[in-house]
Amino acid sequence: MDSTILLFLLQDGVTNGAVYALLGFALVLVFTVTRVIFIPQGEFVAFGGLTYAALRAGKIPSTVPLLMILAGVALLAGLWARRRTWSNAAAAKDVALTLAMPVLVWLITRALGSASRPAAVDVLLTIAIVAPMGPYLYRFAFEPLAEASVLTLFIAAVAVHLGMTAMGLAFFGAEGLRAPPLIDGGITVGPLLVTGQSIAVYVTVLVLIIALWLLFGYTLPGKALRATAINRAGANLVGISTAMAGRVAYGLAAIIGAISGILIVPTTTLYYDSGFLVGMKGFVAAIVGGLASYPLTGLAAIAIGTAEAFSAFHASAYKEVIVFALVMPVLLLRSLGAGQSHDEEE
Amino acid sequence: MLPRPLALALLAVLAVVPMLGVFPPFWVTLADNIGLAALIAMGLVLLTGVGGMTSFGQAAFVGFGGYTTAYLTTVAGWSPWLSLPASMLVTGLAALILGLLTVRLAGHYLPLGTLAWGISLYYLFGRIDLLGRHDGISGIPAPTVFGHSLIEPRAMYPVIWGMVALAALATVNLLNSRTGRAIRALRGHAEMARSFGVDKARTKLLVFVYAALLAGVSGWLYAHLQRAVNPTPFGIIPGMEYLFMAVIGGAGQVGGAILGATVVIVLKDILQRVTPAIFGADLQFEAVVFGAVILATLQFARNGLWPRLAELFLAPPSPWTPTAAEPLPTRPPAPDAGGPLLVLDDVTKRFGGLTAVNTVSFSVGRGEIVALIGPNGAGKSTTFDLITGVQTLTSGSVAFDGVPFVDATPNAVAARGIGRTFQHTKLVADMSVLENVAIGAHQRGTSNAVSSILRLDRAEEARLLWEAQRQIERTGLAQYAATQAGALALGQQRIAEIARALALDPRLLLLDEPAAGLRHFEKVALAELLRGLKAEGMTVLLVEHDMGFVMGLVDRIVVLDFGSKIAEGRPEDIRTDPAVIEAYLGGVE
Amino acid sequence: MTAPLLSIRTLTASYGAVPAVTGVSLDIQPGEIVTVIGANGAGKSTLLNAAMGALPAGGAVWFDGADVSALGVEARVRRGLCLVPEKRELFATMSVRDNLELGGWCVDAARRRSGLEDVFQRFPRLSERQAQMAGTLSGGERQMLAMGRALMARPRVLMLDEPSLGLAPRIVGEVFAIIAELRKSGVSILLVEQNARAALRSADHAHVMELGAFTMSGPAADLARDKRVAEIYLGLGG
Repeated sequence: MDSTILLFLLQDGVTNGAVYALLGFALVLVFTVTRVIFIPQGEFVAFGGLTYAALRAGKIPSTVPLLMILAGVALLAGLWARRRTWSNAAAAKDVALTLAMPVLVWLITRALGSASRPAAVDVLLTIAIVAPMGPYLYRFAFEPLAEASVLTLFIAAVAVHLGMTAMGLAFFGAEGLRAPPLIDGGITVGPLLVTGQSIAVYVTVLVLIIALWLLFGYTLPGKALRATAINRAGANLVGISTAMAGRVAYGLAAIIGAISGILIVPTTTLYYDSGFLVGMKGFVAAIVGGLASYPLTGLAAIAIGTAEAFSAFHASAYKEVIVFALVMPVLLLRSLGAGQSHDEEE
Repeated sequence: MLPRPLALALLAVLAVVPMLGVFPPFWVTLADNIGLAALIAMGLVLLTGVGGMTSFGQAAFVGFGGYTTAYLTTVAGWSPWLSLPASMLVTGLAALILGLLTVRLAGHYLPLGTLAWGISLYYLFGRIDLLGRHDGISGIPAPTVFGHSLIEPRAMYPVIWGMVALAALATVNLLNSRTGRAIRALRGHAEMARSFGVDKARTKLLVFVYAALLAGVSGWLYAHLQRAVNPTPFGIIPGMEYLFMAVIGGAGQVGGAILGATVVIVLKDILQRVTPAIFGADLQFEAVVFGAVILATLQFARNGLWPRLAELFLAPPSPWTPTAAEPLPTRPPAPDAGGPLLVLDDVTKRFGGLTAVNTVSFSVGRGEIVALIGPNGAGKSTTFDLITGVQTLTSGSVAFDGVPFVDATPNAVAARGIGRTFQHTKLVADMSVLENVAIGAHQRGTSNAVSSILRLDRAEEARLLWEAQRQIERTGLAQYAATQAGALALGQQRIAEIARALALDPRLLLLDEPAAGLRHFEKVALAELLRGLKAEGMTVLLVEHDMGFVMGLVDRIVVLDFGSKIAEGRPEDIRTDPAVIEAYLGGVE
Repeated sequence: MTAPLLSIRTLTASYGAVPAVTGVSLDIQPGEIVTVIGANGAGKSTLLNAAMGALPAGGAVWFDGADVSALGVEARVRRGLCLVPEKRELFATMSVRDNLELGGWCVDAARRRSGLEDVFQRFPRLSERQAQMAGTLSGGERQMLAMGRALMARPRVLMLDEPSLGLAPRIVGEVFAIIAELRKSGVSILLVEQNARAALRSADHAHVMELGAFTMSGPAADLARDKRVAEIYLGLGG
């Protein structure tokens, strides 16, 4: 292998790894705040990518009706939870708050139609469509189970994944979509052509990481999320609503997923079920980070992206086999450090 | 309400129906599929529901079973019946290797691990040339019986459901045995089980391999029913579905596996036929409904459907009392080495910068009752953990019968003849008091999983249960022997824990806050029991917070405060000791 | 006589399947210190957690003339009922200052700022260590941080669960001095303690709890003289 191929593989690996890192962060966030091992994270990626591609093509993305359905189910779950302390005013507020976003999004997409517009508009619209799905999912699938064990929540997450994938097939069909690059062209650095697309990926990931760092380190709501992750009982006692923290965490996860999808869809054709494997690689990174450490997760994600790029080059048929088999030793190391307390959990 | 034997007979009659010619072929195929899934779900009942290990990867073991027979019968020309043991062997070996890695995973890392190798193996099946890559292997022969080919789904039906019946029998036999009790203690009580000599890692591995073998048999049946295999049914989505069957049906019982498989397969079939008509062919509506059913089950019936159904239709199993059997061998009387039975010498435990126990020394003489007391946070529980091998010493030593413990583990401590109870009672809630107490005698039996499945363990089992019954009677709990431990009041639970510790045939009884939370009359009964044990020559060390309880009961008291021993002596001296009063009532200078 | 600020009416709560509190009632008047003393496992912590809404409970809890029984923990915090739990429940990997600021999550920015000044004045040690991680503090400092964090929410009733637990005697004295200070500044206090002497000395009213129920109640000074209290603690009664 010559150095050009090496550099090319490295670039490819780092680009992919950057996206895995974002997903890994989202998974760590969701796990620490809500204890859910969030398998459906990949669906946000697929839906984000497909939505963006559809918008770029001037179509109304199928995620808009899907968002309506999820909002409806979340609303029903919310009203059901109110059955013992029912008040018409609170219920009306629920209805208005839950349905406002999907209706707004629907109106905007309809108004835009197939008119040509800058990519940035579609990016924002994609985020606006996918982001509310996170809190909705949390509302009906996980919030009622808030006191359940990690394993029960895990099974619920897998059930949601199964349902979401099927919804994806129903709304997007079996065909894949691809979008034009976020930035055309590229620049040549030595022997290597750095595409505009990879630059867009790097910049976006960097900006997002800085934004998250500022949010968690320097704002009170961000600190409140962290506090919930560190000590739920303590957060409750200072008046932080853990349910609200959960919804915010899921909202952030959905935003991160949507952005990841937008970053991927210009380079890979995305299908309704493509998210799972992409999400799982973010997972592998998150596991390396012990579902707790953001920096470790980021490093691991880059390593996975690179390992994937190289194994794709050398043994492309075995790419997935290798990437997922590599998880076992990591899990073992993690388990040795985890001690006994986990075992006693019911 | 149906008595259980009648219900079983009714099921057996029902099971014959699909063999009749009038039964529509379509439903026979469905019944076959239910049987295949029920086998896998049954493995998950043991693995997840009873053993507490959630696996999304069972479909991969179906793949090992299926591919093995597919290869051997097509390429190597073996007879299908000959390839059955081969399929089981290959699946078992694969499970042994994966299991060695997997069962060591803690908490939620375990299901994540199964997800990882589940995906990995799925892709592997599709890449191997020998196994026909993505196309798989076709042209698998049907098994023959006396020259009669089982090519029809109707002919395979008795084979499949015969296997299901055998597996159910084997599983029930396994659960109701010495090994089974160890398995049932794994979920949530693994540490308790260890302190009665259960080898946690081995027991987990056993369950893992057993569940995989059932999946492997299902794979063998699948290959010969379909007469073709490819990677799709062995992927991660089917793996998830099998787990869901166990969850929906009720992951704790064998009946739940069959019920869950039936509900899921029938539901899927109906949805697959009905929804395209309504929503168009593309919509995989069944997966959506599936996800919703799982969420609803988790939210409204977390233990699955089977327990609810059983409650409605099945009479509860009749209570049963073990009959007299030959007593278990007892511990040989130790050569009296002279000196005290238990000696703590300068025992110290530090957690990071915090010294929880600081150079504590005391001893417990043979036949003595000694109390270790002190206010909250004094280091009593840590000292207890150091004696029982739950925590390791930072420095100092603990000697039992003159022989010091080196790197004591709960297993080793139990083997030396130290029986213990727990501050937060650790009884397996859905097991009877009798079975819980029998865990105490685990070390005194030798039967293994295979002998349990074949019921060759019955003689020893009778002796173990009789020993448990004797200890229950000794502690005055006889009327509760058949009660589920979870239904006992706290006072009775503490006594049941003492009975369990006695079933170990201990030379030293360690009691962790036995009187905490007990009502007055319960404390009186407990004190009475302990006095009786002392009269029989038992040595007892108890950690206690309640001074009133220990005053009239014990020979000596050791008082800890802030990790150090502040007093030691007879009860009447301790109660007037100014340092002790200060520690207990507190003071502000 | 004014209406009680906090009124707990025939409260029942279970710990798992075991009933831990069986029909307990108590009132706290504005500016009062009420203490509940009793042995380990008597149900004292369960009582506080149930009053806070952190555990499902039967009976009723009234706060400032309103029935708050159906409200969650956060809503009770917003109304001015705060708990410093036995385990402190600090945000261990966040700084002392962050812990305190989060304590003021429910109040507006101006009150948060003045609250922070007030806490730093009350606990100068926390001011010195404001950049340190909460998890690295000593036992006494953690207790102070936990109390400071609760004060940030501007509570009208502060419930303290074993504030002297695991603290060296000198620090215990400091903690009780702070409790007395707090009462002077108008905070009513419900104090759960095993350190009976100190608790009885600083409280106005006291209850002795055994097996989930109050067995003695009265002015703290009377109970402090009552021999039966010592008997319960030292087991002289058997």
